[in-house]
Amino acid sequence: MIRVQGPKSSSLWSRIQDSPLFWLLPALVFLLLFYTWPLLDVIRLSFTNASLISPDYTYSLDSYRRVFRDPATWRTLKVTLIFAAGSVVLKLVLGMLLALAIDAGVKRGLHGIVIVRTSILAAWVIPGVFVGILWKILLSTSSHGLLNYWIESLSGTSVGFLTDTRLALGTTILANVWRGVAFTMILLYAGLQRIPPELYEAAKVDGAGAFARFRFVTLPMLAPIIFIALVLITIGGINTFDLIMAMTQGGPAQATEVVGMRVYQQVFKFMNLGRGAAIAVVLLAVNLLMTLIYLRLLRLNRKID
Amino acid sequence: MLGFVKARTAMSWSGLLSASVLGLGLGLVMGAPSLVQAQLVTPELIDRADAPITLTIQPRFGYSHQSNDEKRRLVLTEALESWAARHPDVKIEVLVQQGDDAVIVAKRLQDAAAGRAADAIMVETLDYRKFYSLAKSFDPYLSAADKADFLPGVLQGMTDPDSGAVKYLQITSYTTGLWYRSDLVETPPASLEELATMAAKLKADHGFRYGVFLPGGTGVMNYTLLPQVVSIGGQILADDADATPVFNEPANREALIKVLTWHKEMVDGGLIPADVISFTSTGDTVSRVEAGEMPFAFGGTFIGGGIKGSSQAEKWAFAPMPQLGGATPVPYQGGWSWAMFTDDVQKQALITDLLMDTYTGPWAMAKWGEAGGYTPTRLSSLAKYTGFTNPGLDNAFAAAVQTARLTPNGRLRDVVDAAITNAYAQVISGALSPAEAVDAAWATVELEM
Amino acid sequence: MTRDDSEIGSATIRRLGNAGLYAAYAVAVVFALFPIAAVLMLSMKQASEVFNWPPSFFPETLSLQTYIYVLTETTIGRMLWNSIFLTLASTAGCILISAPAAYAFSRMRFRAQKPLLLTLLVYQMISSMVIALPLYRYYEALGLLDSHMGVILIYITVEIPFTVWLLKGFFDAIPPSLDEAARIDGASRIQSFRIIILPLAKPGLAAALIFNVIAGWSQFIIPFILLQRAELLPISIGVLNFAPGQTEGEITIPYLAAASIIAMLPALVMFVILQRFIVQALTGGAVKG
Repeated sequence: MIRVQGPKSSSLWSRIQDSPLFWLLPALVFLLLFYTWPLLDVIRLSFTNASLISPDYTYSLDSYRRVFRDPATWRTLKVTLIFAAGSVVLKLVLGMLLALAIDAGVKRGLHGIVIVRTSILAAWVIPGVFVGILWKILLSTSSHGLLNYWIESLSGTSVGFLTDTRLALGTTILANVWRGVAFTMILLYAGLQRIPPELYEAAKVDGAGAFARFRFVTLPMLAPIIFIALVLITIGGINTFDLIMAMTQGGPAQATEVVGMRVYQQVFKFMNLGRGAAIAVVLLAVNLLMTLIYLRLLRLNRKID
Repeated sequence: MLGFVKARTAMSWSGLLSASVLGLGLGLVMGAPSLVQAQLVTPELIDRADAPITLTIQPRFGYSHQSNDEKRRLVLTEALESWAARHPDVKIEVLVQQGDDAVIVAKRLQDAAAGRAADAIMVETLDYRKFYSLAKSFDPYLSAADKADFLPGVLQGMTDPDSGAVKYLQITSYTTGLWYRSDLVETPPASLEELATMAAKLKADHGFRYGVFLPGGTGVMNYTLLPQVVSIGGQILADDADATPVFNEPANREALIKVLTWHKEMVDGGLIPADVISFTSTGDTVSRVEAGEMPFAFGGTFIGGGIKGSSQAEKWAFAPMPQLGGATPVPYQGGWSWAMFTDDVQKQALITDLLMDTYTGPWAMAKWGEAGGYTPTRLSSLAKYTGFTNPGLDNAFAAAVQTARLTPNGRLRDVVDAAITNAYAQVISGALSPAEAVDAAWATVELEM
Repeated sequence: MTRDDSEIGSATIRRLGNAGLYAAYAVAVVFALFPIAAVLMLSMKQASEVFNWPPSFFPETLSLQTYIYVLTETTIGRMLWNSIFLTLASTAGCILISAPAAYAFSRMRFRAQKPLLLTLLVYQMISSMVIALPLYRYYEALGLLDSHMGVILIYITVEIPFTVWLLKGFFDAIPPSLDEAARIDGASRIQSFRIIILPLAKPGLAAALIFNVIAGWSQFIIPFILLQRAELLPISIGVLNFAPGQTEGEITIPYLAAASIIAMLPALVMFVILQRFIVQALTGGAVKG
């Protein structure tokens, strides 16, 4: 970008405006002042054996050692990754389908698009805690559980959506997708609008069918947005806490115990600040790892193109 | 910066504006009723705002004059009003605690350690150990008669084992036992084996959904497994400051496995539903009582309020929990208490006086117990007031609470609780056998010690 | 997309496609709305009805009693206002701070650019759960506990990374030649930012508005850990008072349902009012490709 100087360029005010710091300062100040200290504190605490009950603590790698030796750590990591992966795949696929369906509907002039859009957005508007509580009520296995009553009338047995250790994780993934698919849908829909129609025309002229057009025009054009969605959904999925807390508290029998629940358990139930901090740092590391993997994939993708 | 603001279109501003106005309007309209409430007693402040002395108290939401329940609100508001009228130079700021218990306790611990705690805070017996050293002594303000009026087991818990001073004033006591359909069962079962037979017969004869319900999630150790293990001579936690787990000792391990096996057999026989592991709260049991899903339930006396208020109230009664082989039940009790954190002597006296009038004095405790459906912890409350001398549920509660011992509350209690809850879930869901689950629980607990 | 009538039976294909789309819409709407509808029905039942067997979707009599109780006997009105205030204040603050930062990342070259962008991404990864307790202690030391101001500052900070990235993307799509032309004509950077870039980035600003509002409305852990006084609580926390278990023995499901519906309403209303504008903004904008 060529910077062209106007006649007033030499004034002090103009020079200030030219410095990036002037524009970045408020954001940097906020991040430094309100977010950095607690983050550093967590990292610092992970190297101690601090507890909420006694004020003294010593520095050591003991917390990390215990965390890595504990089989529970690996189990919760597995549950978390399955949860995140399930959410990512379903949100991307469903979001894509919905965005395409709405886009096609708009272009064909179908009615009722507004209702569809609003319905999906409505689920997004609800705080995670509510989503958990609401779904818990709906899926209840007691005699007044509506969904199970219908299922029982049809099939004779009720389904322990949240109480069966094999189904609970899937149910929480479904609830997570239900509340979050709107985000992906909006992103992808906005992206679809930015694809020039000429590209579709050209592809059609070349004889490409609908599916081929999707694969060779839509997907590549949407790649940057898909990538961002991928990163954000993964981060969100790995960090999920409020939804699981409200729906299952990590149960049944730890089937839905994600890493965030472990942090909560260690810090607030067992009063182990040091150990909880170590698990929190592990959570952060997993986030970083996933993002680096995605960045690598993106760079590889670019090279192929 | 202003230019940026102008860049938004008129439409978006009007949208924002209309939403804000809507919200503002809603807020003003809805906020109005609370102002119309009692003049002296408002949700957060009691007595005139210009009174020189301020007391800050932090009750739990359900036990405060802001509770959802009308009876509780009335009782407490009345008591607070009369106290405030007698002490015009004191105002009380009420900060109600709501939401997740564990987070609240952690925050209060931080406050207390930093010396910023409120003057009086409500603490659960399970968290006694965490606050003993931080709370201030009530001794200078309690007479010997006062102290003797508390149930012996309760007084023991309220006393700091290290300093011998009374640090808590316990206002309610609960214990756990067997709730049963008294219209269908003449004499409650004397043993768990008999309970199994009775439940099976009732289920077959009357078409109940299942035989026995219990909250099998978090807290199952406290409410159900602990009394059942201890009654047959086993032990899960030692009675020391650390609550050292001892359930890997051969005799204890045996007992725990026996109890877990009984539960598993009940599940296999269709008498206890496998999904109990997902339920923890009173509401879960009470809603099933209301729906008439089963004839028996393990539960605390604290669900008495809910059962009394349901349409099934007359059909239910409470009995001590039967044990394996007909062993004598060893009940545990727990409940909510007030602890004091202010150093100011004048405030300490005022707080003790306030608490006596509202929650912990003989008259207050009886009133509160009646309104909330709780069992008092004072002998005079249990004996003198009509709410507790009529036959019925209240008598059963009183009898149960008198002989109960305090639930363990040492340092490792939470860790063991989580491990045992988990073991129970694994046994009930069929993931592990009782022996495997106990050993797995021990491995977890060992890592935390 | 132009219609290509030379394809055989294109009208039938078109109609089939439309039917398929309508079917897909129906499924999506049912999936999205069923839980909400079920909760709406629950909120209109009496407490005694909740445990009727067999359970029914529709209440026996449509009763607004629970709503009346919740609206008049509880502090839900104040909690709603708190949520609205916290959300709008933090959204405005966040966009005010993030837009200039996004400008710098988009229009300026400096060495720290890449590392700073990566740092922003790292901040994005911090879950509020992991910093909850240190945050409490930090805020206690700062004296910002139990205040709306403190909460707003954190809400803003939490949303900065995503908002900056989002706006940068939209700013990048505006050809630099446009604002450069303005600067050649003598405009300052601030002026070119205000007059050229911001108006053209309306879709981005709209998107940032939406995401920030949703994020602020859903915040749970942060207000829970930082706020004490009941009068300050937003509705995402206040509703817990109705959750089964908070009040022992009470059957509170209808009240919980009513409170949940009330909690959803403001954000939903905002969506419906701004529906057309939002979508137009997201899809429109002067720049394509």
